[in-house]
Amino acid sequence: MTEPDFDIIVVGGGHAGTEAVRAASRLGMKVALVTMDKNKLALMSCNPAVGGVGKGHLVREVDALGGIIGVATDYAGIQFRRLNLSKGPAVRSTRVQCDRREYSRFVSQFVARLSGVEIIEDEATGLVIENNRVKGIKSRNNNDITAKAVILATGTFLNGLMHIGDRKFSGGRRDDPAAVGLTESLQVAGFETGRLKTGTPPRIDGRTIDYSKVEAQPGHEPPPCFSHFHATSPRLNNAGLCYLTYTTPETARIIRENLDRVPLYSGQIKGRGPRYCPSIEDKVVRFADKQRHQLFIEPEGNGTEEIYLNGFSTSIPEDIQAAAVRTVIGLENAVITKPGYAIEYDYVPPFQIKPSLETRRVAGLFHAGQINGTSGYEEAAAQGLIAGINATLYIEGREPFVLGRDESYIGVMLDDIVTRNISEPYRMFTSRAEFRLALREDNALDRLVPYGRKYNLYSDDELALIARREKELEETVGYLKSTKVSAGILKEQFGLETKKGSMTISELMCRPEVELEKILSWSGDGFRDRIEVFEKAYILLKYKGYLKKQEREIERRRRLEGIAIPSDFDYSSLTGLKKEATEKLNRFRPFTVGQAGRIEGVTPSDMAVLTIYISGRQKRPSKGVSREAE
Amino acid sequence: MDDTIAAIATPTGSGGIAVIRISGPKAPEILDNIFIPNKSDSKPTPYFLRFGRIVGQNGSEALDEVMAAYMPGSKSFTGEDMVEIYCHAGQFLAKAILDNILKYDCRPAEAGEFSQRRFLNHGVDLTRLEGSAEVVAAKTDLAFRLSKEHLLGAYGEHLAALREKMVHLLAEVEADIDFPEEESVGTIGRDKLEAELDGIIENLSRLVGSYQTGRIIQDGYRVVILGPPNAGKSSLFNRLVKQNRALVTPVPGTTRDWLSEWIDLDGLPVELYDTAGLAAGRGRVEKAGIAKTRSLIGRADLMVVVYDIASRTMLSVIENLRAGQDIIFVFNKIDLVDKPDTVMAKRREKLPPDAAVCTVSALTGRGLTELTGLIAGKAGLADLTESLVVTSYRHKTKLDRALAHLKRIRRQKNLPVEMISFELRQAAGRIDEITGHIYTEEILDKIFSRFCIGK
Repeated sequence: MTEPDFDIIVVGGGHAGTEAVRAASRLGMKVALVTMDKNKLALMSCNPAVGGVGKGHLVREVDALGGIIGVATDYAGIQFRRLNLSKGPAVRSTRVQCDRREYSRFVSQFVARLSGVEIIEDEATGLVIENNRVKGIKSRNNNDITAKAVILATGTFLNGLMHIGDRKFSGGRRDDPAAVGLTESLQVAGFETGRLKTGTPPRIDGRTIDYSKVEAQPGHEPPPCFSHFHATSPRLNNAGLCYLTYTTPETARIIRENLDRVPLYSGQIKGRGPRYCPSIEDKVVRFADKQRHQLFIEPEGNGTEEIYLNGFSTSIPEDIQAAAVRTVIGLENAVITKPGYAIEYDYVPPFQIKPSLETRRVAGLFHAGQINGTSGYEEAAAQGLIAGINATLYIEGREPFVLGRDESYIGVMLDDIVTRNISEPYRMFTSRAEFRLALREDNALDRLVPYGRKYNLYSDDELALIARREKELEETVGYLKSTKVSAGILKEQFGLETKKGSMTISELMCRPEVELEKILSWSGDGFRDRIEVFEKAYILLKYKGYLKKQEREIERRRRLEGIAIPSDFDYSSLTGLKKEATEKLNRFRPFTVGQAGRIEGVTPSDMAVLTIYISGRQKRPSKGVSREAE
Repeated sequence: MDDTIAAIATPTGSGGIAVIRISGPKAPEILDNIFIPNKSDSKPTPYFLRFGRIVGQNGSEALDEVMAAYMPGSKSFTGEDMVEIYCHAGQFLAKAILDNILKYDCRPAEAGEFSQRRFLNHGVDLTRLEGSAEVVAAKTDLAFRLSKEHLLGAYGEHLAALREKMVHLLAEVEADIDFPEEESVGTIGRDKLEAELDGIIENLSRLVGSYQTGRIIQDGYRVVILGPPNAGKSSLFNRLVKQNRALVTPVPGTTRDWLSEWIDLDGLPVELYDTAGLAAGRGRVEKAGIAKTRSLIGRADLMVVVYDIASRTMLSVIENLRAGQDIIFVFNKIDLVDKPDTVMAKRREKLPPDAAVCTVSALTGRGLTELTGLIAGKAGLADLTESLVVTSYRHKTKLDRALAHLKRIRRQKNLPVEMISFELRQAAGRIDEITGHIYTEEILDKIFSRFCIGK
């Protein structure tokens, strides 16, 4: 038997693919990145922004595990914002507007510098599978390329079909051909595939916008950045401006009058689109009584006049797009540079993968990103990272790396997609995380650093930085717990009168009425240079009670998460289960009892039956020998 | 498992004793707190029964005399530290003790949870395992069928409406968190939040309140006949149960212990108690009987105080009524008085003006219908037509806990929105356990149908 050409082949150079390549390279793998166009790595095919509520959490986690997306965003960012600032720390999120060309360029250079990585410009047209084990890929221009593991990160390219009005054309995204053959190869291997839809708004020539009529939205100062690993405070470009504008009743009228030419309503599009990102035609139909819809004018970068009209995703015919856009406030004379379009693509419903992202059917084959029915750069990047790590662990014959729902949004996402029916593109929301209070942007590194260390994901510089951070936090907490604030200051600055007179800063922080800003303004500049650490200490102290409550629930849950269900388990044999539960369990085949409980239709009484059977079954063989000896 | 659970392990209904089981790390500590052994120096020897009293949280009031056993982990039924308390049967008594236990660091056990823990902690052989699993499955199935029937009625509708309100409120709160940039999603104002919360809290409180009635349907209405010696309590008891169960003699103080019998008053299940006469008893045995009567008074739903219409003896013991406790004054032996109405008028003067009073003759049966009507009236059977009733103790506890979470939001004026969500989800989680799980998808569905999300 000849040695395969590579350890790992990554198909697709988007946000998932590049993270997978980076992780595998870091772990010493010999990696081939197969991409149709090596000048288009990590392209922002849709909106030129990274982060947002829930998504920002994902970026911080990927960064905490050594990923690219955080660093690349900080580098290519042109406007940095913190969302939910008026709310509690757990739901505050970073969102960064990016220069899409700079972003792609940064990632390309990053990947080019990685060791053991070869970029192959080609198209994967099929898989080579022997005895349910992946052996490599078939390619259009080269012969078969062999590897020990394959990661499919194909984005919207699998049989991609774009729609603008009644025009349909094959393609993976604007200006790029679709990938044909891979889906069929997956089907031959026994995979069930499905069809999803997404869309993108028209791009506008910024010089044709009347900015006097729209409301500017600047970034926040100081700009919040994503990456934990800047050695010194990074120089962030925060000069970019976004603008807020609105559609008019005229916009709705034009679209409604032309609904028969809209593929979404004519039946031309069969895939299901995301409800959280509806097209403009969907908005005016479903929310017909709304007089206006909010839109965001977002720059695509510094060196371009092109802008992205966020909120105006559409597949209406080009002439109608042009007319409708000109009814938007400030866009009366706007010129479209690229029309919006809808795209349908194949995905492999993710009940067919494991939480490690390896497919259940074919050993060594991993799926990451939109092929799993997810949507978004952040979701893709997170999966790419995990697939890269787990493909390596697979090759090394080690246990896969699976994060829990109680320790990361990544864990929430992967658990979600393997336990539920994905019928629309899956996007992260913080409401998906039942342990939301513990999963914050500020503590992403604390949560994940043990894994980063365990799997050797950090460089020496990064490790030194982590150690420094930990020391700073410890010192800061120590200081806050030992430093007293006099009764006079309490009264004067904070309006507090207490029986015992003075209190420590940490006690002060625990008072519900005392805001962080108040303490900072009182303490002067002492902590301004360590604001991140100070804030984290503040959060830890302030939310101790709630975090403790959540911790108790996590502990309770962990027990069930630890009970594995044998992969050959026959649910039909459990007479105590209700029919719906049996059917769902047979389809989703959960890996643990905890997962079984999250499948829709499985009731607490089903769980009781299942738990008793499974745990009994599990313990029997391991105790059998000693029992007999007794 | 690191939390401690407790439940009444014996089935509801008649029987000599009830067993309360506590399992988990806090079990021995809880026993220490609630149980005072009669031999004060007696140490808990594993698997040995000790005799003693169950006392309330401040150590004062004795609830019952019981036997208790401590079974340390690994070998116990559940495989963790366990305590079993054997008390007198009667669901009310056992529940009073359980309530007392639940004031400590433990929660009510779910159906089948002791068995679940057993299987989680012990590996048992397959036949035993399957046997037990079937029992548990049957139980939950039955519970399912029962609760389904129950849930189909007005109670179910009410709960469903409650659940819907929770989902609605959660959607508001979650949309605010996850879509801060959306114009159509506003921050839910404190006023609106409180208004919606108050609606839910009111509904929940009504449900929790209805458990009083629900408990009566489920466990019976506890009516204790008491009065001075020789007032004819046992005769009345016998009349009511329509059988000569109690021994009746003209000698005062004949009934030294209490007797109880179930009777059916037009569908109202009544557990009727005959007790020893309340007067300074002379003999030791009689004194013990009187002490028991006093402890029964504390647990009665209704006291039927029986006086001899010809006697002037009045009791002073029935002064501190519990909330929800009722009293009926019955003047017996009207067959022995010439002008009962005149005598009654005098007797009445010493009673509160709004007291429920009736005159009977236990011997002839005169006035009995009026008395049973009064009893049924006190039980509030009329309320049942609304049928919005919580009959399950488990449900009541869940609803109580849900209520506590919602009240916490109400109390803390500046609770951040994600904490509001946390409390709401905790509350929803408790209601979930009755009505079925609220999935995040359901909340998202609500958000997407109500708000135009589009960034």
